[in-house]
Amino acid sequence: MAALGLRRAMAPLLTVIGLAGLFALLVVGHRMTVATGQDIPLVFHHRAHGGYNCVTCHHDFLKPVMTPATHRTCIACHRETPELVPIIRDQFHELCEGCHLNLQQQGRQAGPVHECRDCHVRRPDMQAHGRLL
Amino acid sequence: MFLTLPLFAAYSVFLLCFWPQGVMHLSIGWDVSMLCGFSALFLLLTLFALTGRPLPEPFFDGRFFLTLHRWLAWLFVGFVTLHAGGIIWLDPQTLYDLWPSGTPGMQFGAAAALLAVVTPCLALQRVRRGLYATAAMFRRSHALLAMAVLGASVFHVVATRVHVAVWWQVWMCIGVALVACMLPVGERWMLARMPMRRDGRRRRLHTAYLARRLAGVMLCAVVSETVVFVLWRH
Repeated sequence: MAALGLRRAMAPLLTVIGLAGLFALLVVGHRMTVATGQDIPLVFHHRAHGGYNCVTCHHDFLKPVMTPATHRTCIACHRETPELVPIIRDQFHELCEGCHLNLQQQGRQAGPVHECRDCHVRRPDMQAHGRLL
Repeated sequence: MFLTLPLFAAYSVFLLCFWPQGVMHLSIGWDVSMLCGFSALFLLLTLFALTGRPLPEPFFDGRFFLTLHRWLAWLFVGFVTLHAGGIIWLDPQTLYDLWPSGTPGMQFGAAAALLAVVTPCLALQRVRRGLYATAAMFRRSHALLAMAVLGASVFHVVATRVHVAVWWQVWMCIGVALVACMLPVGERWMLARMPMRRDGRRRRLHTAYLARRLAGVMLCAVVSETVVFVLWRH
């Protein structure tokens, strides 16, 4: 009877173990690679944002930095701060998408929302961290 | 065929609740792909309601419910394929999210898609007989896999925040998923306590063909409603 009970419990048990393994692999894999993983190539049209307050993005304009601003990108800078690394994607999506969505809801002309290819352009000459145009 | 009307109404409510009021300025391709994803989620929820166990109404044999569950499952897999395939075709950049460093929402979506294919494949008669010694073992394992698919799908919908972004939509989505998970057990519990009203009737036999027709009607309903919805929103 005990053997039969064990046999009956085996399939659900193996299923639970398999599912837990799959989801654990996803979470652990993400945590281990999020700091070093490849970013999706990104293009930011700086000129198109000329009409907006610079401080919206350049929040650190008072901080002294070693590298001139023209040689830095937003994402590369955020990557240097360990506590910001896991939330880089959420932060930047929130900043760009959130602003574009707000403008759209006000009935004003706005940049792309949600559609990846409008911001994440695949260009071989471009570094993964993004480039200002 | 009276099951069609409630399902049709439920799908309309589902679309209106989980689709934003404001215009998203998305291309038609994106909207269609997203709606395929929502249709897939709706069909997945339907699978929790129509589990393959006979219900008091319609008073048909078990084969009707089993065939209906099977066909709805394949429709669900088809819509998942259209959703994922459409987005990858429109925006190949989404493939970056399949790397471990990609966004958790997309990775759980990929896991849900993988499990969505594996689960019905494990339920195929030949595989099922080879893998599971008893029907109870299969049922428990299948239920666990189905709940994992639903959980990962809801996480994908909520975490990607493409359409379900407002707090009440998020809680409603989670609530619907929780109710769906409890539905098969609740259904059995209720049916066991409900007095059977047979009125001298006998279950109608050989009704599998009706299930195939119903699945076909549901496919037409979902597709036509999706087309109308996209045209209305554009």
